[in-house]
Amino acid sequence: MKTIKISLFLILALLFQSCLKDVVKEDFGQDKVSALINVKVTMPEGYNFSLSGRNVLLTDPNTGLQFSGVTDDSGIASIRVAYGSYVAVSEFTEITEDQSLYIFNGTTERMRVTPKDEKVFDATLSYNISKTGQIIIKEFYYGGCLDPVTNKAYAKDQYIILYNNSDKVAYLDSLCLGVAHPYNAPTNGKLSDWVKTGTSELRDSVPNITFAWIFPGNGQQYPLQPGEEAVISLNAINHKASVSTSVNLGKPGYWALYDPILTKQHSAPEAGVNYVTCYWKMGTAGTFVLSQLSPALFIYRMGGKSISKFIEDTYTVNPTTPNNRNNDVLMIDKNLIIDGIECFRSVTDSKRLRPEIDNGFAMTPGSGQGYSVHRKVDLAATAKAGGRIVYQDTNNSSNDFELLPKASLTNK
Amino acid sequence: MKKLLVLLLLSIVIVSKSSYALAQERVALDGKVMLKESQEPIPYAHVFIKELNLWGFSNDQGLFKISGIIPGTYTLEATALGYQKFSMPVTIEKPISGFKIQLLEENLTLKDVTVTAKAGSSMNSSSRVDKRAIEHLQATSLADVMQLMPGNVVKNPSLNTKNVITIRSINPTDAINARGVGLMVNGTKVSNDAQGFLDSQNASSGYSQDLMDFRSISTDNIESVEVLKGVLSAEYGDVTSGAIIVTTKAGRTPYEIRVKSDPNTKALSFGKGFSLGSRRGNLNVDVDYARSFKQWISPVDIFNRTTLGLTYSNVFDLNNRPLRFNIRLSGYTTGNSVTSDPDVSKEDFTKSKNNSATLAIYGNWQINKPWITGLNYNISGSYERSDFNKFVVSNQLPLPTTNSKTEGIDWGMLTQTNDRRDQHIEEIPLYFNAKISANLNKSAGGTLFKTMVGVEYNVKGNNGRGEYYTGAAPQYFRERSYKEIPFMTDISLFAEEKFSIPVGSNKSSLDIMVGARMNKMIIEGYNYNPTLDPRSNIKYTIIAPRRSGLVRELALKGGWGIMQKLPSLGLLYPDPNYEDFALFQYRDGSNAMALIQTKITDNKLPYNLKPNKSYNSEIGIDITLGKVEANITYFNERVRDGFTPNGEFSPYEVNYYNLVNYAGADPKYENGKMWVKNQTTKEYEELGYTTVTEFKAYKRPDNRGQQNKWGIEYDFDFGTISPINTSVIVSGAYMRTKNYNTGEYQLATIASDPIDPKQKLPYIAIFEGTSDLNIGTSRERFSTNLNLITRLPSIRMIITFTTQCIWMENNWNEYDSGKIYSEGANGEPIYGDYNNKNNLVTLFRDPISYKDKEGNVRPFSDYHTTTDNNLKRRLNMLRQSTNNSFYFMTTGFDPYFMANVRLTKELGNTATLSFYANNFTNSRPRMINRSRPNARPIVKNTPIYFGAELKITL
Repeated sequence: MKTIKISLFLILALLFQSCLKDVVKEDFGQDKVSALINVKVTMPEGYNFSLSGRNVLLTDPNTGLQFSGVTDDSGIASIRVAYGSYVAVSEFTEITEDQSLYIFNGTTERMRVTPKDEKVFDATLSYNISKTGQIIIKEFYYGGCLDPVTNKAYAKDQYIILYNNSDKVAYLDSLCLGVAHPYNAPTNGKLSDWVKTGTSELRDSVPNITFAWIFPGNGQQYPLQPGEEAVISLNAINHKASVSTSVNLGKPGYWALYDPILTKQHSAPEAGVNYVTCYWKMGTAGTFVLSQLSPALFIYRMGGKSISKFIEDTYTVNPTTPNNRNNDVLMIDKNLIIDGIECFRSVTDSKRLRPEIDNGFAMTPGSGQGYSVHRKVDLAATAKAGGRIVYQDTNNSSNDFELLPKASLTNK
Repeated sequence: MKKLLVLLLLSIVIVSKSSYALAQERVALDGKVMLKESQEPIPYAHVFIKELNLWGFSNDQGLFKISGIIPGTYTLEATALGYQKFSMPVTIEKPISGFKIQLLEENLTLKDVTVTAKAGSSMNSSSRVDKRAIEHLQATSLADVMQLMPGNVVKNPSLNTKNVITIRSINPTDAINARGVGLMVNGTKVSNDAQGFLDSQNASSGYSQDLMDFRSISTDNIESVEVLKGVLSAEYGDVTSGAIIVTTKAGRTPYEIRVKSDPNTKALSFGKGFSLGSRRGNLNVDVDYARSFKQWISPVDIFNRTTLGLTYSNVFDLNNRPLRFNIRLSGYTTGNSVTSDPDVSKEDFTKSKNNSATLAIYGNWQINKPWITGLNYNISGSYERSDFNKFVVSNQLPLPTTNSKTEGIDWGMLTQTNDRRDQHIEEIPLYFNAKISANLNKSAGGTLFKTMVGVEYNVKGNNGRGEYYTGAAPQYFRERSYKEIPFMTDISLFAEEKFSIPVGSNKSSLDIMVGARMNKMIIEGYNYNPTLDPRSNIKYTIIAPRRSGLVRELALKGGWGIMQKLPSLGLLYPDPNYEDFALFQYRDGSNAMALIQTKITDNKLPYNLKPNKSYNSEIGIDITLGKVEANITYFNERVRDGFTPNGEFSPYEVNYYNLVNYAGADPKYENGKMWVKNQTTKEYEELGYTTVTEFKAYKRPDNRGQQNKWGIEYDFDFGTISPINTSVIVSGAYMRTKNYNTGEYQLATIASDPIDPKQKLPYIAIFEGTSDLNIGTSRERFSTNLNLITRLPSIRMIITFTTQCIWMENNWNEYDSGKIYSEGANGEPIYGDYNNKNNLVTLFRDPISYKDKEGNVRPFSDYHTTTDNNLKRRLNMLRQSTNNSFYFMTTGFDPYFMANVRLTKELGNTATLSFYANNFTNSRPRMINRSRPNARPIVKNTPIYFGAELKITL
């Protein structure tokens, strides 16, 4: 009797196992749960660098899943992915014999692969050549800190540091600064309002929302020596006096985004602080809004136009909110943009800056905790520059920026 | 208007006089009120001849007497606390004595206990809810009782948010309607018009701060609630939507202790009516305590209520000219406390505390003279003190501020960086109300005349300190004491004549009531003319109630009248507007300074804010077919002169001084000029400036609000299905409301000028009605409540099943025909019919005109014709637009249903246990909005909710 039972059990077990095998083969086979994406990379016209060996990263902004691959000799990276909706990014730098640095980066459109689609998906990723400007955004402290006395977040002390990363003198004169619309990165798989119609690709220009700032001077009044930096803040006062964990932004030589008429809710700066001029403003706000969670900041030049001409040429009504004049923007052409930083609150957020400007994103664990994002030092370049610190600038914040637990000015 | 009133009063007097000449002899009725089972006498029972307003009270031996009765056939009613109401027709042709009235003890052994709203006794529509129904409902506040009204939907009780009452309204928070609801407690008017000033300036869409909060009214001491609708008797003033008449208990009752509990609320109450001995009257004591949590899992938002009431009642001169005398001292204290999540902040909190005391003297005197039958009197005064306290600790920027109350330029201060902000809003509203009315009954040729004339006097004001801060205050805050606001007085005269004319011989009759009310409002700073409200109701009883036949009762009724609601004090005296401009700021280490220019606009209205005026009419039919009783009423109410916010603007020219950003500038302001030390020479130099013209906007209330409403209320009582002891009542309503504004609305966006951002947009838009794309909003609802009431006298239990059916619930935006357009490829307007369509284009509505800083008004058509690009860009800021494709479609849902159950069980004579469950099947359908099929579905019905109550009677 016992043997019968055992053998019966064995037979059943075997049967079950064979069924399971079938199940695995039929329902969980690679073809059933995944698809192959072939990303073909292409060079911009006039450049002839090798297409093989380039890293390609596929990211699903909804789930955060990432898959990576390397291109073969024909410039194709075949990457097997789980079903989802992916964006491929790739970038690389080349230094030619004459020591000039080229940065290439690119992003594909969003690709959806579902069980109903073809098993193999072909995509093309066109590299853009991006510039490494002299002036870069070195640090962006936007989340604010925690006041240990009130136990509440304090974010009136947001600041930006610009840095001359080159070995030549740069000039701040007529340099412009703005934040991209929307104030916070689009979330839940939503796209920016500013994509090319019918695609997920961002437009060739970036929307500057609500306030647009310009440095005074129109020539060589405000030089920035190699390795020198400019601290720009919204409220150029000593915040440390009231919040011990904050920073002193009221030092002579610092810059303030301040206008007594347009930013009535900003504090009047300390004497000795220079003013960045607000040259355009929409809406009713009395304060320049810089998201504490996920801002996108960029610096640009007007390309030789007068301010009024520049406004006239770039002023655009937001197509998705035609009834809200506060969302009107200036569309800044990507070629005028010198540097930009895209900040996300989650890896699943959607981009606002084009790949040539920032092919990645920086991120802090949350607002009101004192975090700051700071550019990494390019050790090789710094050594070569003879002690002048050179920061990494590949136009990809994911690579170039690191997280600081405290703003760099905290102890200054 | 005055003449008209005088004429009316005269005519009433003449009618009375002439009827006096024809007056017949008066007779008296005396008898005894006793308990049916034991024949025990019942003292302090109120015996009442309904049609004549004549009454008597039984003494300790149960004996009563009513004199002055004009011979005829009337309804005799008798009530006593704890006994079932007695009602029967009596014909009194000659004096009757020894009339026996036998009352039954009210408990669930009776087969006909009423637990729903019943039609009241007034000529206009009314619903009456008695103590039993309130107990069965387990109401915690008066607002809960309203769900028994036909057409109202079930709402879960909550004491943690303001309880507002509306009458005949789909929108439960409709401010126009809620403001027009009058509350009378024992005939004493309860008002809220001298409080709730905050936000009257900042209101963006309608005013709601001054609406009465019914949370403070507990229900345990209530004997009955009657809701008057339609065209009210002329004795009720300062109402537009209707009135709630609350009668509290007065008389002998046993000890009554109640414990009530639901997930968010716990309540305890005690009541007793003591007899102070023969002829010494009675003393009723009621105490109630309730505590409610917003969320039962978290004790951070708590509401507490304690109410106390003492009522002394007595009747003097019982056998001759009885004088009913009541004096009630009542008070409450309510408190709301919100503390912060301790993980976020240890110090922040919000508290509010209201203490109130009211003393009311009321009653009536049956004089029975040839020229006066009776006199009603009401005198009351109330004092309330409320303190709202909010404490927030935070770090702020040092910003320029001043609290100067004089115009000019002066050095100001800076706000504190370590901001410990302790905000208080203190209100001390005071109310006084006195009302006396006299009535006279006459009969001539079978017609009964009832005349009423009266006068009412109201005074209200507020002695509170208003909003103030101890420690840090917000930027540019000014304290304004409510004591600066004058008291408001209003005097009303009212007169009403009611004729009851027999028609034919088969008891058919025609009742006509004609009345008028004149009101004069007196407040310093305004000069109001008297207003006159004519009111009339008519009822034609074709078939008087009878016990056989197919049609057992048939009556047609109708009414028409005007009712008005006076503006509240806060609306008449908005805060003055202080405009502050920081002309120059300088910060050099610890030395920080700000030069501030202050401009003041006295905001007292340059016009009289008119009372809200409602034109009410209704037509109804009462019919009994076999055992089915039906009441159907059509009503139409049009509110005019509703309070609406409007914008008012003045341009200011301000000189902003140039920025100075070097240390050691030592700025000084002398002789109207700004001086700073030159950075190099260290000599004082005059500082340059930029002149900027800014529009500053402030809100002002005006009378552009309009509401058109009509509906049909129905109530079918199918009687009792005997085998299962279950009665079936179907009630409900169809209502349709349209809200819109007339007149010109001024809108300034106060946005930066798109051409020169340093300046504000130099134009103001003037819209017709509203600055929306629509010209009004409408809604309609059709609902039915099916009540199955099962009475089980053998086990002393009563169960009510209510199924609430919402057949239709629609909202839509009113289309501005011919004025809505989309844009063509070149920006040219394409006018078309976009109503009731899914429009995949952006739609625009233009202002009618625009106004510049000099006050010049130009038609807005300039936008479409101008070649000036800058003008076009500026005017573009003023257009209204939408890209919601469904904007002009009707949003609505398919029918949905909800089931509720209530149960009351008596355990012997001492304990009563009640239980209810709202939406007990927890039906929360996710419904698709018809106009937006792809949008996220909306969850309908209230969440499941339940509660229980235990009453102990000793």
